[in-house]
Amino acid sequence: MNDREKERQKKLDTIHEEIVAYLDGELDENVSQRVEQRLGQDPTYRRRLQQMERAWDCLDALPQAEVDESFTHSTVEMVALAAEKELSLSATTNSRSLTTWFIGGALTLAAVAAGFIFTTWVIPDANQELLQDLPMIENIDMYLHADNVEFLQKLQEEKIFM
Amino acid sequence: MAISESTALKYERLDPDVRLMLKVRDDDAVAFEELMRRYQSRLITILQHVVGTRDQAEDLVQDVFLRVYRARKRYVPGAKFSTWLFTIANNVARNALRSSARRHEVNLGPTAGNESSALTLDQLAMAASGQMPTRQFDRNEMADIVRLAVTSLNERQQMAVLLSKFEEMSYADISQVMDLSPQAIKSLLSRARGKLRKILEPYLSLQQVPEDNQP
Repeated sequence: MNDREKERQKKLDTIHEEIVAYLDGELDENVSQRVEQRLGQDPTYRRRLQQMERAWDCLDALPQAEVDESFTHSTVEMVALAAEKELSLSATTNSRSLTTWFIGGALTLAAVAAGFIFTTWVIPDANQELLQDLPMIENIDMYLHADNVEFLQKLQEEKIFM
Repeated sequence: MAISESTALKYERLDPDVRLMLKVRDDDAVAFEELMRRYQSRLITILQHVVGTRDQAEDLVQDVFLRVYRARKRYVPGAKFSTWLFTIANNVARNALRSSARRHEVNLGPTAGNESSALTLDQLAMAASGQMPTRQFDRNEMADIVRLAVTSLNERQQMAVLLSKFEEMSYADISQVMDLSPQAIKSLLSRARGKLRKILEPYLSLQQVPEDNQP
């Protein structure tokens, strides 16, 4: 397709769009008036519109569905079944979430208790160590005069300075 | 996109079907059945022409209503109820056509498996080129011709044409249903109707007989 043909095709497409939009009542007042004016003056344009309109009217020959009660009932039943399923699923989810809460609470309490035991028994208390060493701390000046621990132990065994 | 409160109120005030759907949202079963009664045949009509068979169209319509039911709690009116419903239907139909294409089930349209239809797309093409013997067609034959002409359109053109013809939807509403711009719908419908005219024109010139003479 050369440029001239392309241009011509584009022009035709625009005319078709305009005609179809006019038939569908989709044009604004000004454009509608312009189309109507052209319809009065241009027989080719008018014929094209009539052909479009007739082809469109042909679609009235297509059958339109009629639905009996049984279809309505079966759809209602299907939806009711889905609703029932939805309800039972939500009940299961609720009971599951209650159980989850109980288990979660119990685990938290157990963790707190374990933490308390660990900190009480396993980690050494700094104050406790100081209390144990208190006699040594109180007599540190005297201990500094002695050269070694064995000599002090001997003095204690002899009970010379008790 | 979030729907503003004023938009929701506008549609609630203007569209009685929106009010029914809001009752469905509050678990009103009677309102749901009423909506079904109002729309089931309209949906079947459209979907039957899109997917090809009545049975499949009925299955899809049931699927549409099931989706409406499941979406009820999230429903906020952001359009006319029919626009919302046909948007769901369009998605359901597109999914069905895609799965059917994946299964390599070549869909020849509404006449596939319908023995009463004697016309084929080849014959339509012959008629369009002026090679078909000239004779008048009765109402059923004409319906078959139109059906085949519609199936010659692509999926999008079919949906746009059917919504425009049977639902008398505006370009703006069709564009919402099909998630396209109104300008795209204008072009789509123009091309579709041009194609229909081309296919049907030879038959139309034969059909120009007085109404009384028609069967």
